[in-house]
Amino acid sequence: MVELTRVSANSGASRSRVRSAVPTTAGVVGTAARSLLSRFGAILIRINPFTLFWLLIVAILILPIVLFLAVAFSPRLLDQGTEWFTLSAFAQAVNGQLLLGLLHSLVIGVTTAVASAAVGFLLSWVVLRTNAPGRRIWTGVVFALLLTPSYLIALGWERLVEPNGVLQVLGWDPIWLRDVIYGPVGIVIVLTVKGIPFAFLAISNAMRGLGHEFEDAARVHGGGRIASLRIVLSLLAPAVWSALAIVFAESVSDFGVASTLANDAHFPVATYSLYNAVQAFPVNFPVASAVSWVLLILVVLALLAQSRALRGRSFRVLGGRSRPVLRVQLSRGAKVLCTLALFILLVISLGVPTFGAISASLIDGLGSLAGTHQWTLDNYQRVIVSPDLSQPLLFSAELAAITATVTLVLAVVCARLLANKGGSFGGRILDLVLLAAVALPGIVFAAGYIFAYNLPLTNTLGIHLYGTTALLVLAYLATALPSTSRVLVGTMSQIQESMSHAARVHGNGAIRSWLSIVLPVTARPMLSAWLLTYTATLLELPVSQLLAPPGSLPISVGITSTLAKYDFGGGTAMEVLAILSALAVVGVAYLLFKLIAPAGWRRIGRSA
Amino acid sequence: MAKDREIGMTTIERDVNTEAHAAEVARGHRVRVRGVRKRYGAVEALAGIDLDIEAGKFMVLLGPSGSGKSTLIRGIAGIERFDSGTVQFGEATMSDQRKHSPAERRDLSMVFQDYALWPHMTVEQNVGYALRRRHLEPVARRQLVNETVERVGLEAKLKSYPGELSGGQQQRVALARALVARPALLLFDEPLSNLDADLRERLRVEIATLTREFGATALYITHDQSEAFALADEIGVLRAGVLEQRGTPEQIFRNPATPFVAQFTGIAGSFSGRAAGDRDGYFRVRVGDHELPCTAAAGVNPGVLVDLLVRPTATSLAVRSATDEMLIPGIVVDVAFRGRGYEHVVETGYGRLTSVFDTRPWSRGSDCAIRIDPDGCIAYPHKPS
Repeated sequence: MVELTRVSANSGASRSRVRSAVPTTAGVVGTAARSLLSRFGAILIRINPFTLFWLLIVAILILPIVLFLAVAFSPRLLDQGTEWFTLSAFAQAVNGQLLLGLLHSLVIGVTTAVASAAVGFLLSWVVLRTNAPGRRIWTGVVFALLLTPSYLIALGWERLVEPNGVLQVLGWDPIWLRDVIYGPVGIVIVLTVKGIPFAFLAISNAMRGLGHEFEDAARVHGGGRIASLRIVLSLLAPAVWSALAIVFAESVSDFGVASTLANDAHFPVATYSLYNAVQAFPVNFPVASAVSWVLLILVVLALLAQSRALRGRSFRVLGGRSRPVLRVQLSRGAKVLCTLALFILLVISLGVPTFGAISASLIDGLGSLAGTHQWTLDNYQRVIVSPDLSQPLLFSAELAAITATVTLVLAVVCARLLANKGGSFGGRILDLVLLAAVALPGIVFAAGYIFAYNLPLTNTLGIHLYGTTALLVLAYLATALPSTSRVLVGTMSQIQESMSHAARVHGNGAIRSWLSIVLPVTARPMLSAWLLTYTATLLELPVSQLLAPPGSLPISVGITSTLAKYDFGGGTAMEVLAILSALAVVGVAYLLFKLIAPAGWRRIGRSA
Repeated sequence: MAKDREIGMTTIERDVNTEAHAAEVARGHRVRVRGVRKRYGAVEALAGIDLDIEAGKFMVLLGPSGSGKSTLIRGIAGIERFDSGTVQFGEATMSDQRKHSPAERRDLSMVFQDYALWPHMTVEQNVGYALRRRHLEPVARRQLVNETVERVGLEAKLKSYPGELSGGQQQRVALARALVARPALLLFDEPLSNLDADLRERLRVEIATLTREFGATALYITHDQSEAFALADEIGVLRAGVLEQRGTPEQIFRNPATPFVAQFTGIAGSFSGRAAGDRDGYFRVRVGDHELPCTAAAGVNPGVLVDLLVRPTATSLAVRSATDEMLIPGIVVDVAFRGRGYEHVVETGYGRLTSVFDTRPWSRGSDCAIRIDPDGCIAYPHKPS
């Protein structure tokens, strides 16, 4: 608990430490870089009319990360040390506490991947292949889990089982459960819950395309029940590998659990060591960079394993023409068992965090010895009245709206470039950059930003963004752009080119054609993409934690820092209000779309 | 109704203000294309094409896929820009080295292979969209839309969305959309190739009659020779970015300038032989023991090796005869019932001929002979392949 106070308090102070840790002489390098930049710019102007767009991509996606990753090998190049080339940062990273953190991350990642894939597989089978009652709600549950940040799930558990927590207030002191949750098992549970949606989506997609005929064919050609099961398993193997790889990558990259539950349990993991290296005194960028390298290598290895598993036997070729599957008719006993299992899963995944947050927000003075510990709405009243508690949500909502809007515009451009048939050179580069950025852990991103925009070089170039809201928004933008672009590529590549051509040929200019044809056709996916970005940005943690400007806290930092001050009621009330506000925005947006959009717009995306 | 349309037309003519229309108001554009080239990386899609279409004429460009016909029509539409060359509609220059009028300023319309209907608009809205540039009163506009949709037989579907229509209906909507604003030039980009045979024929007739009735100049591209012959006032055959031949359907069919044109417009088979010379009003070619009368293409002189390309329509089956030198003996390999009669595949000593027609079937394996009409048998200088 004491640890928590250190997480987010005094971010202003640590920022000034960061600034003073970076020497401020780099005139020569600056001039050289400036002329290099202008030459690069000139080349871009000649090649591509989207010069501004590309400069932005370079500035927000490529440069910060490349510079940050370079400092692990060459501290001198970026004024972080005396050596031009050294591996000493790596030597430090694989030693002592840092090594322990990396090993913990690795073990947690593997365990979580296996657990999520197993649960995801069983869940897919029950939902898609049986007539178990209540299977239909799981699509919704999976998407809710996908959108819920891991730190909120962890915080829900903590509120329930901590000393003087909700359960104790309710009259049961869960001593053994507390020991389990505050430790590797609890971390694995939370990350597994977070991994289930990824595993479920990967495996259920494959299972859906897998018609019954493969099993039938195995039986008809003389294989028994076991043989046909083996056929199905080997057909699904690529999907299972995918699930393992994605969940592993997500788990080792996770910062939300690392900064809450793992930190409170004094269980060091790599992402938190990385955070400490750039935030706590003495700031050590080369070591942070080295840890990032190791994380990145783990993630890339996992994704390579995935693409290897998918190569040549992608389950997609099985889709399309496969016939619908027959559901297994469960016996009464099996149904009861299934329902029970699904119920327990629902309680562990969504129930506990929801109950933890809501109940904690309704108890007076939870976490402190003061207060009546009675049911009350006081916490909500305080959050609404006190600017300290209400400001973060308003601040984050504003930033999220700005980020979502700008991201949407850029993502449409990216998606358009990516969807171009044949693929221009620029399109392929962009594809690579966005793919790499999706794989990059959020905390590495944030650290890269702190580093790059704090460099003397950056100052020499006249860029003074460090510690501003603008930089925070840029970082949000950079984190959101890759996934939002990916989401929109599908939509953009579905647009027949001839539809816009037809609009031009029949007498409308480029802009009017776009507004009257492309916009209506893509309105719904664009709205969804906006909402996705808005929700993700609103509750985003790692970038907010490292880049929040002095004086204004984003909601995620506001929640964790309020909790760190043992105001559990206030913190959880903020959390509940933040989630309710996100749900309200989503609800209102879809409602408005339904009410305002012309009938034709609403038809798109619905099956005929 | 006819009077109403007259009023509609005058409104249109008064209101048009596109560049192309300023030059030529009353009827279709006269289209003049000179030396257009287009290159995609290493591939030369168009290698310098000249093309003229008289105002109000129906021109069909025929060519296999990859011949550059799509590139040409898209360049004329203004969707793509040629690397060089000029395009003029009437006296107005649409594109040259410096200038490139965008599609919306060319006063044309287009029917696309994939229909390209806008899925968020009803039939009425899709067709009405093309009228925006005419700035009509709402009443006149609705009337024009209704009339045109009625002409393609879809008046019952005005409020339907494209997703609710069959492929043939969708393409009829696309046709109505192209016609409604009375553009001076109508472009057709393989509009029938996504439809099945029966629909294709019916829609082809509608395209032929409606286009001529509206008086627009039409440019139609296809890879289907029967479509081309049925529709065209004039045909151009494209191959690898070069216009191989231009002419009326009859000229193309009777005097194909190159073996490619002959092959692409339909042959039953070919023989190799040696040119003998003129005799009795026909050029003669020695094929094995036979001396066949034929039509000689340019460059065929006595003594040279030639390829004889035979049109299906020039073949007929006969009983073998030892005395008639014109008859080439063969064996029936296959016979297919085609409704009007039977098409045979015949193996001769010099090669195989397909689509040999007769009103009665010849049984497989039976001996036969083939008579070849010299008008449908064209000799080209032999090109070693």
